[in-house]
Amino acid sequence: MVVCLSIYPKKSLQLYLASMNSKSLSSNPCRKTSFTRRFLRALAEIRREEPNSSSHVDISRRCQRIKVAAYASMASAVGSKRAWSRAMICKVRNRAICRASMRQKIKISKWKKAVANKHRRDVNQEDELRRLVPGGKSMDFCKLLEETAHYIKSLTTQVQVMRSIADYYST
Amino acid sequence: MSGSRRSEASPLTQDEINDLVLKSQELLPEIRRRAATGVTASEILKEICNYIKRLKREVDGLSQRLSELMASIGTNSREEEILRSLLMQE
Repeated sequence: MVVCLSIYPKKSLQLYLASMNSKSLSSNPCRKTSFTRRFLRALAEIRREEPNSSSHVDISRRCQRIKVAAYASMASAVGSKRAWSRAMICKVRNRAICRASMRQKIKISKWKKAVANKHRRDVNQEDELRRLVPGGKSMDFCKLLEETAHYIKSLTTQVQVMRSIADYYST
Repeated sequence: MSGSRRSEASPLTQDEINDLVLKSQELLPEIRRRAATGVTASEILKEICNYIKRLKREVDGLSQRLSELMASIGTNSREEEILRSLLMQE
C-alpha cells in the first residue's frame, strides 16, 4: 500500500512513525524494568497483608488485588505523558477513595447500560474501542488510535512480565 | 468535551483510514497478511478490540495464577534475579 507521506501534516502520523523506530512491539527496557520493580513491590505488599491461605475466597480476593496492582504499576511506569495512563491512575485512586455504597450505585447503572446495549443492532466498533482504552471516551479519533497503539504495547509488556514472574515462581 | 462521533453509516476520511491501516498493520501481524484493499475500517477496529480483550483476559488468567502461587513468593524479594532473567529474554 503506497502512502504519500508528504501530504500528512498530522501530528499523530509523525508520532506514530517515530514510535515505530523503537524496534519491536514491546521493547522498552526502561518501562519494562520500572513496571517489574513496581509490580514486584506490590506483590510483596499483598503477600504481607493478605492471609496466606488457599481458600477459594482468599485466592479470589488476592487475584483481584494482583490484577489492580498490575494495571496500576504499568500506568505509573508509563507516567503522566500518556492520556490512557493518566486516566488509569485516576481510576485506581478513585477506586481506593470511593465508598462502598457509591461503588454499588455505579455498578448498577453500568449493568443497566450493558443490558440496553445488548439490544442494539450493530455494535459500533469505535465506541467499543473507546470503552476499552482508558480515557478513550473524550479523545478525538486520531488521538484514540495513538493511545491505543501505546496501550497495546504496554499491555503486551505487562503480560510478558507477569508470565515471566509466574513461570519463575512455578519452578 | 466528547470526542468526534460518527455512526457506522458515515465513512471515515481517507486520512483517517490510512492512519488507521498504517497503525494497525504494525500492531496486528494477522492484518498484514490480508489485502490492503477490501478490509474495512470497521473490521480493523474490531480486530483491535478483540486483541485488547484477549490481552486483558491473559492478565486475568495470570493474576489468578499468581494468586495461587502467592504462598511460595517468599518475603525475600528476588527482584534482581527476576529482572536479570527478564532482560535476557529481549
